[in-house]
Amino acid sequence: MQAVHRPDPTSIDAVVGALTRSSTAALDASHELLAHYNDTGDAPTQRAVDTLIDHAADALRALTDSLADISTELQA
Amino acid sequence: MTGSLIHGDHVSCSRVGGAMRRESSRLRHHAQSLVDALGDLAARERSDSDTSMTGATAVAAIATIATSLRALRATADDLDQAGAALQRYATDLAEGHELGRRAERRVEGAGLLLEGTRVIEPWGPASAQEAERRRAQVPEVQSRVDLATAHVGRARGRLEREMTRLTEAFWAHSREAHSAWQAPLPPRGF
Repeated sequence: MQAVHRPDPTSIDAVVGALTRSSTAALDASHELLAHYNDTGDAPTQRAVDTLIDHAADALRALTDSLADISTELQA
Repeated sequence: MTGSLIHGDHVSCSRVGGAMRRESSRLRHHAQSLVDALGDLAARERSDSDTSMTGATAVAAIATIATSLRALRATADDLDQAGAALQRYATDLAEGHELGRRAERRVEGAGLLLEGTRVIEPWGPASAQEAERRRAQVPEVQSRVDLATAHVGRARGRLEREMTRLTEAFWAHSREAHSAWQAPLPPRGF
């Protein structure tokens, strides 16, 4: 029977901590983007900026979930 | 600050651009912390490889995290680019406002009127000499107005192209993050 090796819990904790902090930062960033008003002065340009902000916030929320999920699984 | 010729608020554009770059910087900092923690984990796994049954497991876990990390870094980089593009636009818009104000002063000084972006002669009675004097100034005054609108038009074109390109990039990062999220981590310690 081969020996069972478990990763160093200290290293795992550090990774979990970094994942959790990154997840929180991504969520904060998505909120920050959506909190700002801006006026480009031109309807098509404004739509392009608003669409970008929506997609950027969506990417940040996806990262929030992804990083938090990995963190939770690592702690399990 | 909204003039009648050039619309838009350069301060708000600069502010949102600055917020994007600040958040980008924070995300990069967190990504680097994650890289460091993963590096440490990988190093410990390598040093224990003689007893490690989980070498492959750790590598797989690191690979799963690496997908999210790649998306995190790419998102931070693109957020910085988007913020920089908005800040450049804010500068161009501020210059456009100044050009617009000068053009409007020139229109007023020449006794002419603006209809949208078109310089026109006013209605009403005027001596033939006065009417001719105004008419003669229209091309030059119109060229000043055109200078301001063209300046801002080019800036808007640049910003729109950059926003469109980066929107597609963010969409790809979102998909990448979702794929990492849906990929289960391998079981630990077997």
